[in-house]
Amino acid sequence: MDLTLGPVLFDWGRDKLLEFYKEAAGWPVSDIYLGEVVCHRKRGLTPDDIIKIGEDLEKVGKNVVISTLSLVSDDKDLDVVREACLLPFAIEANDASALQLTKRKKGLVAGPHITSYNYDSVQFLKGIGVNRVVFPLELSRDAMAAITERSDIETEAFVYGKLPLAFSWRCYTSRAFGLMKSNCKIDCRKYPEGMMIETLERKPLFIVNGTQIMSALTMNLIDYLDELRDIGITKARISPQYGVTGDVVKVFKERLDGRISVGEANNRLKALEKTGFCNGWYHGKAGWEDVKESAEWKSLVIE
Amino acid sequence: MKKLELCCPAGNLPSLKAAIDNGADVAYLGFQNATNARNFEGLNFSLKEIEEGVAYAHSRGKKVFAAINTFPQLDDAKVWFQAVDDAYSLKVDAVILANMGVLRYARDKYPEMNLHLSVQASCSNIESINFYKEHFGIKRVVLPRVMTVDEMKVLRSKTDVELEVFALGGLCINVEGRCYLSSYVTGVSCNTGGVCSPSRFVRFENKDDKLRITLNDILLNELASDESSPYPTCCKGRYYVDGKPFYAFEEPESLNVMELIPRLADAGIDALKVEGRQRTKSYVALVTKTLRTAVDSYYQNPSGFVMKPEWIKESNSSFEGSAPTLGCYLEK
Repeated sequence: MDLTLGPVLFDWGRDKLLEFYKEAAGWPVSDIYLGEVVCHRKRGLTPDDIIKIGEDLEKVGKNVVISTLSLVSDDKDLDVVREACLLPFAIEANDASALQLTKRKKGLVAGPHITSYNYDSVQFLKGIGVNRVVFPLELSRDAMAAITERSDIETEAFVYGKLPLAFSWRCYTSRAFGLMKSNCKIDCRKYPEGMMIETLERKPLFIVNGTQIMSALTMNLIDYLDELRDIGITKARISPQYGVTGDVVKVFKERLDGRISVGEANNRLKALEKTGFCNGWYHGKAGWEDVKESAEWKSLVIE
Repeated sequence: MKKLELCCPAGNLPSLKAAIDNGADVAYLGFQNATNARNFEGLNFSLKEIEEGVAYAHSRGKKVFAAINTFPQLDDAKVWFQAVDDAYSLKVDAVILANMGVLRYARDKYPEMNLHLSVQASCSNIESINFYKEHFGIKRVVLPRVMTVDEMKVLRSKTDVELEVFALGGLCINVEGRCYLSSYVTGVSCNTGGVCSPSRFVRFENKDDKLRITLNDILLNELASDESSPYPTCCKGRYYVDGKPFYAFEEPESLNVMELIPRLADAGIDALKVEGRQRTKSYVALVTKTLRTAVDSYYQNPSGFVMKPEWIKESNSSFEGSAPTLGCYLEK
């Protein structure tokens, strides 16, 4: 199983992104996803930047994939998708528009926002040239296994990061500042980890990232890498998080190679995460739940 | 002139008859299982009821659409395929589908069947419409509530696929099909279980003069005695953002774009949809009748269309304590 680096979902600005991908070139990931998934107004990198970064990453052996917008509702959004689909790399489609515009690519990935919930959908996608499916985030282990059992398509699971939960025409960050998307002041740049949304009991629940709502908790499937590999998933996605991604990748790599225990891996990840972990969807439960499968989990913990 | 078609919700046979009797061109419905996005207890149609509903509508020159618009998982696709088979044999006028696997099945097996693309397919641009038209021959797309009327008009100029838009009722502020808020909080969502914010997870509790509303033990809101709320969902909750409590995503609002009928007609929209299969027969009757009157009034005198106070009063009275909004139909 290989680790992959998902697209940066937050607005970190150009300088920070250039630095981030320079570092990422040295990380043990097979694939790096570039490009804008959330909002066309907050692109930090120009197409020329992306080409340069992509080429540099290819030189060090990374497979480069361009992720596309997941809500495409006007001509500006569509122009951004068109532009992405012209770049000389594989494409991750997060909307059917990108599937339509990407007919001649060296690689076509159905991203997590394409509804690959079942075998029949995956087979259809395979038939139109999709060569990898990133499973929708709310799929359980059993639902993923039901697909991988029958299909030979390459599959990727989201294993670590804040969960993208919703996309809107409305910019929620702007809303918090009394603005709208159309007159936004790029306030999302002030929140490189997103803006925290707490319940009235002050319990962290969501994160707002421009037009996107995310989970306040970090989904963490490091306990289940062997299981994911056993059901035939060959790519495990880590979603970039401000300031800690390189360390997170390192922990996952050491765990994948069997150099550290699940217990040690979790302890090291805990030091990198401020809010807490969840894994409920993997177990077919509410996403925010943090299920410990006691017997298996305990037997693997070697403190 | 081709008139705006009125598509009204039917959670059961009496509601279907109420819709047709009060001027709906189409009643849309679902089967009694997770194949549709309003899979509520006690709601929806048996096969026999669909047969009766179709006969009722057809004998009056009206249509029935069946929503089969959720995403099968595990080995469940056969249930969705069976729903498509049943819709076909019961002579439903169109099926409203969302999942690519289900679309493929329906198109392969029934080449002449009318396939509409559900709002659950998150299709909101010309290339996406072209994709679904090319691969599945969709006849109509139900647009998510993420576009302005001006954007709809541009879309109209680029495709011959029919466009259906939401006119009245509950408002999803996030694009459907890619919203996992309910799934994150409860484990069940429209995508998978056919229900957003299922009632079995909702609790109302009085505490310190306030009404606490929780969803699967997560606090969504606290209401003072002079405040009201629509059915509790994550997107309509009140939260702390940067130290201040407010409706971070959306006020408690319902969509009512009746005043935009002239602009929607001018934009070339084919059909208006009323949300609310989970609502009562009297809701369906009231909103259908009001919308029918408003649409007919527009076609009688397009340039002189004026909203009548009673239409506003009648439609807004159905909104369960939430205020009317135009959503993003005028600006984003």
